[in-house]
Amino acid sequence: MSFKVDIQNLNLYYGDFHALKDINIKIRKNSVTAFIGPSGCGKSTCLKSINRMNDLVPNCKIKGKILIDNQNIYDSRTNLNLLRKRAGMVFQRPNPFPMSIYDNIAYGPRIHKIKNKKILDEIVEKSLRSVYLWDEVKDRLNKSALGISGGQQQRLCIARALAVEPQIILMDEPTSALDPLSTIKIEDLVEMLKVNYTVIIVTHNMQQAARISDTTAFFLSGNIVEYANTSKIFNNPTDKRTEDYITGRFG
Amino acid sequence: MRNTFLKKLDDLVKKVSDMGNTVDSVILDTINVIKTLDSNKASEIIESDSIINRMEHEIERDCLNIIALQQPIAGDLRNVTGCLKIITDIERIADHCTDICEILLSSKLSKESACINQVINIMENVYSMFKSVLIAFISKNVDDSVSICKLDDKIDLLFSDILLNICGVISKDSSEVMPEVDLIFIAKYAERIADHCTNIAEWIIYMETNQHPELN
Ligand SMILES: Nc1ncnc2c1ncn2[C@@H]1O[C@H](COP(=O)(O)OP(=O)(O)OP(=O)(O)O)[C@@H](O)[C@H]1O
Ligand SMILES: [Mg+2]
Repeated sequence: MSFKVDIQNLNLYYGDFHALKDINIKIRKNSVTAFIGPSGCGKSTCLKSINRMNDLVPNCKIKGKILIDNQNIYDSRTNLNLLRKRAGMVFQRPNPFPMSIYDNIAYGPRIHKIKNKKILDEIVEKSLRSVYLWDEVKDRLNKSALGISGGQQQRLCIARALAVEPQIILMDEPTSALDPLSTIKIEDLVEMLKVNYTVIIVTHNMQQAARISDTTAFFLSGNIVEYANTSKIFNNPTDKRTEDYITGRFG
Repeated sequence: MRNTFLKKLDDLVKKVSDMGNTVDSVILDTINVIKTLDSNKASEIIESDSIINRMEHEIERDCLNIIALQQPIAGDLRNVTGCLKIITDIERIADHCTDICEILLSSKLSKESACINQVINIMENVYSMFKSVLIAFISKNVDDSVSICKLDDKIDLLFSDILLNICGVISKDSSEVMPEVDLIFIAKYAERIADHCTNIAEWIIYMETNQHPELN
């Protein structure tokens, strides 16, 4: 069994606030993992710690390890740029850069020193094709990315994440601002992505977690209460708190 | 809290137990008809079957509505699918009572027929099995459901006894065979009702534990 991400005894504090409590999970390569749980339980915090986005938060203290391919990313030798290239992030609200569709996708590769126009063209086409956006935007690649629909913007953001050839894709409620059709497109996409990538997705939509993930982690007040196969979680969870949450009996 | 949803689940369980209670009295009436050979009463039971079919369809519709509109998962989903399966068994039990009454209407059975008391006995055993399984459903009792599944073997034995005895009777005096054959059919329906009770008990176990036992 090969684990892509191995979180070991992770504790995270925002100042005095203990936001993640002794998190231990192993995430398989080429799988989709869903993080679920009530608001404020630490899902985004845990997701962000996988590409060290929390480093940007003042007073954020982290103990424990996160191994990606057996390398501790909290090791002082870690190159943050390379880490964020390896673990790309997609956010809740589509956040295209205020530039053309083409430049949005080429942005990352250019940072990673790809200058050749022909190679960039190829990357742009390949990335847009892999999110099924190519046909919809190929005639307006040089138009502003802000002019396309929300669902298209979100797929563009995924394409932008894919353009730097990551291995892990972290998604924080990627469909919560989208209509049902765009949501289904993203879900189908996630299904396809796991062939080549390891996907971790935070979602508030129970049905979505059930539909697209292989494993599910249920967070509650900074703890992971249950982490198991998605079919186990949604058919017969072990912990009563999990069942109460997923069946809407919470609180 | 999904209060409306929880109320719908409660209502569903209540409707299934109402249907169960209705069939409970159908079984009891059927036993009485076997005892009294009252053909008016037998016809009444046959006519009342449509009420039970209607109950089944209404509950079926409720279940499908809950699944489509509320998207239950985990224990909730098992409760809904369990109810959906259980009402099929309850409905079949009522059908078998109708089958028995139809036999009685056309039969030349008399109260003195050999083995009739044995047939009444198997029906009474089956009736108490049904009563227990209905209580186990309402109280979600897994242990009782497991015991009920085991009762099925006892009913099978009672049935083989009846079969043996009736064969003995027929081989001694073959002048009037049909009433005895009718009794075999009635006993067979009783044995089938016990099978449906076992199915219900197994669904209760599934609803509570996510395991569907094949205890028999
Ligand atoms: N930068 C920060 N500084 C201080 N506290 C923070 C910070 N970010 C998050 N928190 C706190 O940490 C806890 C976990 O937050 P997090 O964003 O991980 O929750 P979440 O599970 O993603 O919730 P939601 O579903 O609402 O997005 C919350 O109580 C939050 O208030
Ligand atoms: Mg969040």
